[in-house]
Amino acid sequence: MTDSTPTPLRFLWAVQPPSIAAGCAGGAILGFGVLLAMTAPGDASTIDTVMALALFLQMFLASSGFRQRCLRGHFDPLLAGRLSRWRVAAAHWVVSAGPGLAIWAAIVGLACWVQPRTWPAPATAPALLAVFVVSTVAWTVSLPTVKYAAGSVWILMLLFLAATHRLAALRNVFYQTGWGPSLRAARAVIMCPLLLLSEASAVEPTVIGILAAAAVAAGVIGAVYIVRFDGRLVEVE
Amino acid sequence: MAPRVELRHVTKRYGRRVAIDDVTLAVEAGEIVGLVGPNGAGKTTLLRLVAGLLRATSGQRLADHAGTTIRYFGGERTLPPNVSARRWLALWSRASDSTTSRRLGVLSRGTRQRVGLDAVLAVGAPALFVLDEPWEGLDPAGSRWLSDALTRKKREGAAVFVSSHRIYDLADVCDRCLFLVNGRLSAEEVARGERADGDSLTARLYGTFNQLVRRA
Repeated sequence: MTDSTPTPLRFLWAVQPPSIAAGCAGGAILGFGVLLAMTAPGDASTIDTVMALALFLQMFLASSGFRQRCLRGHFDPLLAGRLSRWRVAAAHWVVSAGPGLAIWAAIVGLACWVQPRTWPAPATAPALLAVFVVSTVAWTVSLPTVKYAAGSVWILMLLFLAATHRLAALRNVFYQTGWGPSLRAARAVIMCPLLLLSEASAVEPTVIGILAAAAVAAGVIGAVYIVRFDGRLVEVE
Repeated sequence: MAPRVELRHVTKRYGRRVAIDDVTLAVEAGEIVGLVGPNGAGKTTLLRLVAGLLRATSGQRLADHAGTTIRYFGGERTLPPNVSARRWLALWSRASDSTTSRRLGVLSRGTRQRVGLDAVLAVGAPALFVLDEPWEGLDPAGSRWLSDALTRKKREGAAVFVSSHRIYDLADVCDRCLFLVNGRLSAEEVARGERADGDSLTARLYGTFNQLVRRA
């Protein structure tokens, strides 16, 4: 018998695999996309619809949680005696965001099939940034809270914005120039990531830079949370 | 490299409450150290500090990590309920038997405990084993199996730090027994050489334990 300690990625994939419901939702989105592509071939809005749905799904999938499971001791075998938890943090992000990113990759394939002569919309900078922002922010928000926390907050936020007719105002900042509007546009994307898809043609490089930096910062905050986590075990009957 | 861990003047606080108070101890390769204490004494916190799962508020934890494997088992309640027993054992490269295809969450307490211990003990290289109440929920045959497994690991050069309320089981395997009361190590009994007369050793450990609890 040799040292059989599993890698963080293998361990986390076994302990918190994507749920069957998540798999079904991802399959349904792709199936819906294929159906739209067959009924309306060449229609660009097919991919926009599928991307928006996938982004909604990723808000929940990447929001996998950490604190609760850790306090119940589920990660003990992985964390015991470990000098550095950075690899654990990286593996946790991959396991949380991975399924949604795989669905996104399938949508890129679908886009290539629907519009073979144009660069696939899900592989443009604003679209890739949208899925990266959603993956990382949802992951970080859920670490100290609960599973699906980020997705729930985002949905409530979007409902609030829609109900109070503020979505149009958020869209308008994309059509102004300067640092102030760029920062406001980045803030608008954090509140409503779908704007990166709907206003893709108006997204300035400055906004992309700010959002990329914000997403990386969110990821680092999440990783630091895992690295420094030091909680007392809770008893669960 | 021989597994070894040492705590030097370690204190752990949860907010204002002192859970572990100025504890110094070492667990060496080739020995089994037992930990006894009343409920709420801080045994689990101390074990988690030794395993590196918690950070000390003050003091030092020294462990030879290079080439040393640390295996921690916090009891069957800490196993993820959604994973099948077969998958959990496969994760630790253990062949599974015919009864283990069900999820850990639906298995009996004793079976979960056995699966968890099976996985933890599945390491060939000399390791540091930190086990929290490992005899809990095991039937007599399971208890015997665990005691034999720990003794075998010790002979192979492992260091074992184990807590239990079952003093007779500890007396059966331990070289030293530490007593923890209100977060402080209050006494240490050397068990080495007394194995031939297990009853008197158990009685002595019980005596020390009762004395310390009364005093506290």
